[in-house]
Amino acid sequence: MSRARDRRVLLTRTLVIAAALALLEIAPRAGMVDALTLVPLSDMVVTLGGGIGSGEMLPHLFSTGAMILGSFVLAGVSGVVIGYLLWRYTGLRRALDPYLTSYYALPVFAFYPVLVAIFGLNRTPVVLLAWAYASVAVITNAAIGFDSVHTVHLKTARVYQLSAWQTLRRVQLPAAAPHVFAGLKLAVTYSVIGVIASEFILATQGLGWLVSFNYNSFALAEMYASILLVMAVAVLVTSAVSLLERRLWPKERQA
Amino acid sequence: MMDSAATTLSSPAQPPRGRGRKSGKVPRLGPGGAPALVPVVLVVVWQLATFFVSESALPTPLATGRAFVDGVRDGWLTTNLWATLQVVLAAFAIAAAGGLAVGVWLGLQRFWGDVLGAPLLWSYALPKITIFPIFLLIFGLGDASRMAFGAFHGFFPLAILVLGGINAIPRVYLRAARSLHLSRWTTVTRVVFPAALPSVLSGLRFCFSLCFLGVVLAEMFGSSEGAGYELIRRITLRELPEIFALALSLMAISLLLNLLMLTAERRLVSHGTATTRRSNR
Repeated sequence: MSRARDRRVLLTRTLVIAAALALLEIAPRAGMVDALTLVPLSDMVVTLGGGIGSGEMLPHLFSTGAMILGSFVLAGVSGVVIGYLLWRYTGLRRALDPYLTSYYALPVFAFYPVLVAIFGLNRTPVVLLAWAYASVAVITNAAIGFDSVHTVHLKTARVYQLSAWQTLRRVQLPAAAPHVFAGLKLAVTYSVIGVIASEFILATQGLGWLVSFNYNSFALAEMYASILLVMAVAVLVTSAVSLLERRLWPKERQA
Repeated sequence: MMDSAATTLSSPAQPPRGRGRKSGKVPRLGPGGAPALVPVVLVVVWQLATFFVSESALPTPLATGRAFVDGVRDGWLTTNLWATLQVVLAAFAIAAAGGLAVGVWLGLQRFWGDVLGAPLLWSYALPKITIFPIFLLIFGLGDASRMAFGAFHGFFPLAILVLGGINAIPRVYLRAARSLHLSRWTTVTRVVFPAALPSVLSGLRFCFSLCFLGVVLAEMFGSSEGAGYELIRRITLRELPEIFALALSLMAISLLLNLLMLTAERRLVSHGTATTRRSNR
């Protein structure tokens, strides 16, 4: 019975999304929405196809992709290291805890102009901002992960006289991996948002810049096409990570 | 997703492990002492960094402090912060009303909650700021567009958390309400709302933060006033101390407001459980 309901939920959801997409197509065509506000979905897709086919959009796609990857790797590595330090030094943790807890309540992007003012209008402020935005999710989750390692396992490591590095590599990191992965999963999302939002605000290239550039040059179809591309990239990256998670920790092993 | 980002690090139930135990013996500051040291350490590091970099690349803490005082005296700092805050408050009012309404509706209609809950959650991973131009096209360049975008930006976490909070209410409560023949409105105000209060309150807090971020992002892109606009404008003027002062003020304001809401939340939630306990007796 519940499987039948699941199927009904899934079907309805697909229909709702299809209806929303259809509305995006029909509303501007039927004149329900001003043609200077919204272009039909098919026009967006065609323009997007043209932009990719002609290779015009590709440099921006690659630039954004590289910066997302760069800031994500930076956030992942630094996040695990800082998370480990927080686990090891309780005083440090007690000091930073309230800031880490309210970190995502702060408008971190207000520091983007600061970074641009310091480093100039290039890729550095974008990567730094995305890194700063993404790393705290890894720090928090990694620290929780190191907490979750069973004391017995640490004692066993001590019995075998493993060095701190060996304990970390052989015992703590594998045991903390699910939590670390949860942090990395969030970090992917934050890297994507950090890079694209920074580019959108102020940059000279990238997918976010493409949206703002097309808006400023009144190229409506191109603007919607680049928004579509931004959303597609975000959805693809997040689904890839979810897929990877399901591959690494299948449901039956989680229980 | 939202919850794991917000989890507190300290777990009082667990004793510190490993090396941490040793540091417990070291005489330490009071409970609020260690966090208060963090800004001090940051300012010292910042001051040290300015010794190695030219003043034009990194302003000193002193210059930033002076820019802050001048900004308050001249009024440009306070005017812009206040302009932003006003829009944020209006956006928050809209987002709170919308998020609560949609969250409660989806929470009570189980089927539609299941249908639309997942898409609401997906929206969290999207860089929503890139659709701000659409708001500009619809609402024009004035206050309305950034207010609408701020509300849109803050709406999702509230709707998601309220929906989750209502789904977590024991079914017995709702069944009891039905057997007492309570009206829909009474069920919502007397049963659903108090039971889901913790999620509602943290949802409101997230909602406010994201409205704030949404408005600042929108101002940085296209606006003619507000803190975000001022931050971008002063880059071209290369007024670094002013940019630092404004960015830090924004951080301080949102941090303070967040702590305030957190405190109110804790007080209200413990108060709420106390009254339910009394009425249970």
